[in-house]
Amino acid sequence: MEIDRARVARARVLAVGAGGIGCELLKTLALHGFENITTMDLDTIDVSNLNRQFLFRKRHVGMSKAEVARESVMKFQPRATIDATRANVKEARFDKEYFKSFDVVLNGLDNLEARRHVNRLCLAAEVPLVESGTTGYKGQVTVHERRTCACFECTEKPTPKSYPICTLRDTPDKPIHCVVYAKELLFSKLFGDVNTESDLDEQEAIEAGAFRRNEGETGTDFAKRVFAYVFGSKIEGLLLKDDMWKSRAKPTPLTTSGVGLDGAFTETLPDAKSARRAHGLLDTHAVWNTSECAKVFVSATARLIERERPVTFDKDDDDAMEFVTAVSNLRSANYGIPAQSLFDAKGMAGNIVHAVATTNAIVSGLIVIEALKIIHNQMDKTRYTFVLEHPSNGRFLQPLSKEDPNPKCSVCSNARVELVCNTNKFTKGDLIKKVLKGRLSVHAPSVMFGSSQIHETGDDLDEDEVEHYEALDKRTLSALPGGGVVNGTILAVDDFSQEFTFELMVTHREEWDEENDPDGFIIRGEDVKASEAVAEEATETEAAGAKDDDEVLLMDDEIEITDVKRAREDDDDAKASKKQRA
Amino acid sequence: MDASVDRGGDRWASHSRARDARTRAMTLTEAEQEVYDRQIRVWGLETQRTIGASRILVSFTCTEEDDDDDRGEKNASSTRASRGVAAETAKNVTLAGVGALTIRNDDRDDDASAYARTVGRDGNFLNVERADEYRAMGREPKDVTLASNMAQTLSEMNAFGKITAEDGGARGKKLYEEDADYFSKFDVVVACGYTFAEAEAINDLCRTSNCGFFGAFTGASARYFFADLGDAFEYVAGSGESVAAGVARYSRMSEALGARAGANDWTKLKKRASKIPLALRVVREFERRHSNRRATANDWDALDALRRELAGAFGASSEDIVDEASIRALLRPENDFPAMNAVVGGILGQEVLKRASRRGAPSVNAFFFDLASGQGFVHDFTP
Ligand SMILES: [Zn+2]
Repeated sequence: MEIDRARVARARVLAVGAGGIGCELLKTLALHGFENITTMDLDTIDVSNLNRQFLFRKRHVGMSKAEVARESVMKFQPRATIDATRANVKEARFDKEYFKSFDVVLNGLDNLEARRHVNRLCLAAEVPLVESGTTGYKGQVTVHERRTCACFECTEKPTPKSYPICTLRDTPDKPIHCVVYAKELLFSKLFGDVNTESDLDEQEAIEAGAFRRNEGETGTDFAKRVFAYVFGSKIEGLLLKDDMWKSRAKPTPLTTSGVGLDGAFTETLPDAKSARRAHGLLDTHAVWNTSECAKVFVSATARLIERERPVTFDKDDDDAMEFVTAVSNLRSANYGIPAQSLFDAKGMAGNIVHAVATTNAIVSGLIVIEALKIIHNQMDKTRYTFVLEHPSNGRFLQPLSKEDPNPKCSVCSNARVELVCNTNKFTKGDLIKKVLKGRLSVHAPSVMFGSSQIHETGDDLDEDEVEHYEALDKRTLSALPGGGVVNGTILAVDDFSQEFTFELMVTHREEWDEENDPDGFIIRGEDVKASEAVAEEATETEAAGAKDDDEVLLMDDEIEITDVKRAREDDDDAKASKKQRA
Repeated sequence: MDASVDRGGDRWASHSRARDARTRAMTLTEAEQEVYDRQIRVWGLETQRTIGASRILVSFTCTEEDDDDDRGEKNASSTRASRGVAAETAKNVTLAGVGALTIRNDDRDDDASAYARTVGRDGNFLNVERADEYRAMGREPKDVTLASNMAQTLSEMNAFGKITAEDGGARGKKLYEEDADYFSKFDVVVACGYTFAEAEAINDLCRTSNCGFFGAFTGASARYFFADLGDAFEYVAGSGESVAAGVARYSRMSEALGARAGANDWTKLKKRASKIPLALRVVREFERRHSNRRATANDWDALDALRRELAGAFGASSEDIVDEASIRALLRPENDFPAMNAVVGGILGQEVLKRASRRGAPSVNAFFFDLASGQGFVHDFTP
């Protein structure tokens, strides 16, 4: 590959994210002679970054990632000019015009929403995008450009899993159900906003005042009372529902005496900095027994209840995380589910992405190789590369040709998206929050229904406009002015900040099974239909023996790293590399 | 790649199962667990502990011609690519939390300006400017060697391990002239930028001292490395309930790339497989016939003749003659290419950690990454 050094030095590059991939990327770009680099990251440096984000030191903890990264790179590459900002790429100032000022955009982001946002702006600004992701030993680098190839959103990304409320509350059967119960339900109920509705507000709980601290009640007495209700009488009540246990194992109630909570409650080290430490439980990898969990539960609850409400859950808040681990394990004891160590529970509750330095280094090299091709006008030579944990046909790094644009993609091909819901129950607020923002990553949605505006976002709205749209939020779709949004209605959705416009077709469905669709809606995105269509087509042509076996599969269960991988089985290659030895 | 895996009850698996999780965790401090949290989630506590006990040497050298480049502005980042590979690898294993890492510069470093001479002028990002820091410490920056400046950067990346700098110049010998005692101080030796003959000598010394050997090489548009972990390298692969022990067989580089080795590679090569491994045999043979001089683009005529000769000698058909591009990819680089260093340094780092921890199936026995194909693949050269 012939490198034109002047061209590299001149090229204007935006590297979004200065974290795991970002640190490696900034280093590799600077070493290659890129002199016009812009980077941004909203995050500050955390201790757990130091195992891989090698531009950061212990003394930098709490400081801006982007700014420290810039400083560190300049020390080994003084010629590089790096414009570093502590900022969120979704801020309005980073608009289409801003993106247009770069020759190429390189993504080193850790969340799907921001990755989609950058994808949409790159499409609008017609700037090539090199996308990347890593999880553990796996990684991927893909290249996207308006019209010439698929965009980042041409293939469907898996949505975060949600669980039916009755499974969480009454019939859990996996550790994750217990962790989600502890974090989302019980933690919020006890320490969150008092005015928020909770799925734990069942009749008998309210009547018994199970979650309300009595006047003059000590923290530990309150905690013991919550324990007796949540892990004891609540379970006993459930046991009376015979139907629930016809095809399930019955849970076992816990008693305060059974776990050693009767009598005076003592901590061996009351001044310790968190609940478990107060009981001498220092090893985060150990699995606490039931009576240890009960002690941690009482101590953590007693500590948290003294804080000013609302307390929001944070995996790095020791008492909060220890509370969640204890609750999760006590419920596991109720339901005969294996208990977890604090370390493992933290991984689940915090959705912690597994990460090593090497994969990020490899991915940064691959990103820069694609970026070099792009700035040398060799878009035709760019490709996708997958980094594999276990070599396939001897390959750790598997290059693949780019995908074509998906004509059914709502982002780059103006395809329609279909929303299936019960229009008599689904509200406009649900549409905005759960569908447009939550699922489709629309940042600042405006929605037109016929000729009337039913939603707008922006700082320039009048007070009465804001009030008007808020009032509409509470209405069901079918009760919206102008005849109601019903089966077959087409809404026009627009996001000025992303330069993203599409049509949303609403399909009404009366009956919803909470087990299968806990969200109460389905996005039959046209891209889903499209991949179904491709799958059918492939089966047909395969039968005719005319096409490569294009298989659609997901790289990983982490949302950070997902894409289409076409497994091209090549007999020759397989044989050549699988040299068997006797 | 070819390691035979023995499923079921084996001593490694039962060994690790038998340990109580509680006692194991206690050997890592809370501070270490905080820093290494994300990677303990990848490879587990036991592996983290073993890595913490490992002793690694990363040594590098440039060719004589490269050294001359140091004096002039021309080709500022030029052919010191091996420093970039060494820097990447050393960074990766240091971040992982190795117990001890020695960084060794085998090039003449008697010039008074030492480290500062190449800051920002090659792919060695461990060589950072810290003149003010040194002066504050009462040290004259010009007395600081390249290796010790790199060691300083590495020690900032790993507060728990011991980082040492070493200079071949000061020791009056090159790595391949050290004795077996020297090598026995290490579990793994990574040698970057040596000639094939030198690397083979280092490989032999590693065998004698029972330490793992990795030799990394830089070409015009490719990076690659060899591994020799001995005749029967025992490891554990898999996780949870599906843990299994395996044994991998390696050979010395000198055998794997010997003049008579590789007959099968020529005739069994399939159409779509990369020709780079065969190209390497051609380049290795060239150096053997030219007093271990590195092949450059100026040697094309001789290489051209050699690729035909070798194909003929091993009974390969004329279609199987190694293509020109594959050979040229391996010749001495005119320019560095840091992105390739990052890629190969990443894979090499992973393989070093597999050796250090005996966790994960190791690659037997070479890895290649080339720009043209974009593939990063393992090739088994063992005879
Ligand atoms: Zn698209």
